[in-house]
Amino acid sequence: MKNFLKAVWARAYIRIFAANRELSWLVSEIAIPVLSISAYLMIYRSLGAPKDYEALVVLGGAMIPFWLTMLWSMASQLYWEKEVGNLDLYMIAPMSFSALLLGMAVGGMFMAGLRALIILLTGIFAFGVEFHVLNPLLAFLAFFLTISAIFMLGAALSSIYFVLGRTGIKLNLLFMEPVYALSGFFFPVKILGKLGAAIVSIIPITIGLDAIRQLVLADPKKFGFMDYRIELAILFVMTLAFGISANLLINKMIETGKRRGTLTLKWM
Amino acid sequence: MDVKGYARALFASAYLGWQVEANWTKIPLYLLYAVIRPLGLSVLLFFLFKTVLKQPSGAQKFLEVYVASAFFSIISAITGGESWVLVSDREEYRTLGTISISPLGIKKYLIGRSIPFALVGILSTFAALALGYFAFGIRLVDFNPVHFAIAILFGFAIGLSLALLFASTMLVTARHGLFLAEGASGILLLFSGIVFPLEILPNFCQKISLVLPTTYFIEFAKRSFGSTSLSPSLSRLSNGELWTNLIISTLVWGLVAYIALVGFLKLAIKKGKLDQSTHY
Repeated sequence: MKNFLKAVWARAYIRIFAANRELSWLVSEIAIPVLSISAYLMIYRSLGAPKDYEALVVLGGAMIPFWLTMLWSMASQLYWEKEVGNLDLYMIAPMSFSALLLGMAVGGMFMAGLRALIILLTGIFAFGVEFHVLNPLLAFLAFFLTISAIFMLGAALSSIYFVLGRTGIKLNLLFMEPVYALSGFFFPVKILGKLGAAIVSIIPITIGLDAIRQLVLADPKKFGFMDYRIELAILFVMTLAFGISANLLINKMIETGKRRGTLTLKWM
Repeated sequence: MDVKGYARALFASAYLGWQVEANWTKIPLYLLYAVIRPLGLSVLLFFLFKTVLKQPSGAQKFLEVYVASAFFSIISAITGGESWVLVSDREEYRTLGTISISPLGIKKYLIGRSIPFALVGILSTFAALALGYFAFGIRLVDFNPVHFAIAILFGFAIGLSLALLFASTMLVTARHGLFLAEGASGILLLFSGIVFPLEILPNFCQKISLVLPTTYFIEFAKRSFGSTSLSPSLSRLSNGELWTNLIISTLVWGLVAYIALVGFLKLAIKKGKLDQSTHY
């Protein structure tokens, strides 16, 4: 167990400390996303939408770092590790691969959390958006379950992407704009209709954002697609299901890779 | 100037770009993938408008925004793609250093690699306009094919300039610089009068808008479809003034991009960043 935790911390350490040393991330991951969010915020302003739509945009914008970290620092990470030769080192290290995935998730959550917090604070202080958190504990639970489900999804996808190779990178690109468009980062997902909203709810961030919005915005009924308690339960199930899948898939991937000799095969 | 050699270099890097981008799957599937990606913005805008207007299809404001966003696909396809080229060549394929010392050189290489992205962007523009027509009920009047073709060419030139500018900054930054180019699309959305009238922005932001070539490109593209801008400061420009502003701003930004590329390339070589690996 001690060895497991040490491995988790070692993998997370790089993301908690090293990834923030080069300060250019402040521009590429804070300033630019904030300006991008401003564009969507201004659309609502130009259409004369009520102020709470702006809060909706800021919340969605604050969740984007988690989605991006899941895609680029979880799902595609093992593929990148293989490409640069780190995977060989991980394989011979005396640690569990699940510890590696958990370390990536913990470090990723910190990395994305820092960026999300700055975006949220910018929204509050620069754009004057307001939140009405009646039950902070429940709001935190919704947030925590959302990012847990997202990162467990990332851990599960990492093995799939590893097998897919370059196709996985292309999938990631596909999971950016179209997912922004459909998963309700910048609009309430109920606008898609019941069936549409139910379909896009297979993306954990969609259902998580819907629950968070109900718990931190003034009028929960206005934006909510379904009862937040059901959404929290779904997120919990998603976290478990993705977590178990991640564990099974990584073992399968290692076993198959060893047998086929593809574990360290590059540029595929 | 060796025009034949230059053309050969561009063709070689464009061909390589096409292979790297597309040979992971069958060509029709790749084209579908490449076209669907940028459509995300058009679909997102539709739902944003639907949230407030309920019936966005008939609204003039939505028509204007939709056409603008369709043309914007060209810019975002090139800027996003080019930064990927730099990161993957540097950190995944480890070939950036080799390219920099080859007779081809990084500058010609990057220009050549942008060509497939531009073609995909143009295809996406057509796809977005078709989607607008069939799915969102958008009807265009007074279509001017000559202006449309010119707009596409300017889109390529501006996209290339901005892509080289972002790519050059990435020569000296870590992998997360990728989000600079991806996010830059959002900045251009904010400042170029694509999704709302410029007058909504604070004064100093409007000044930024008026020096960006994308502002004039989008206005020009919209006029090729008979759509006029909701932004008074742009709609009052005569066609001649619009042409002048478009040409001057495109040239100036092209020059800025070239200077940035030369400068950052020198810096990257000096600091040994051409073959850096920044995985975390």
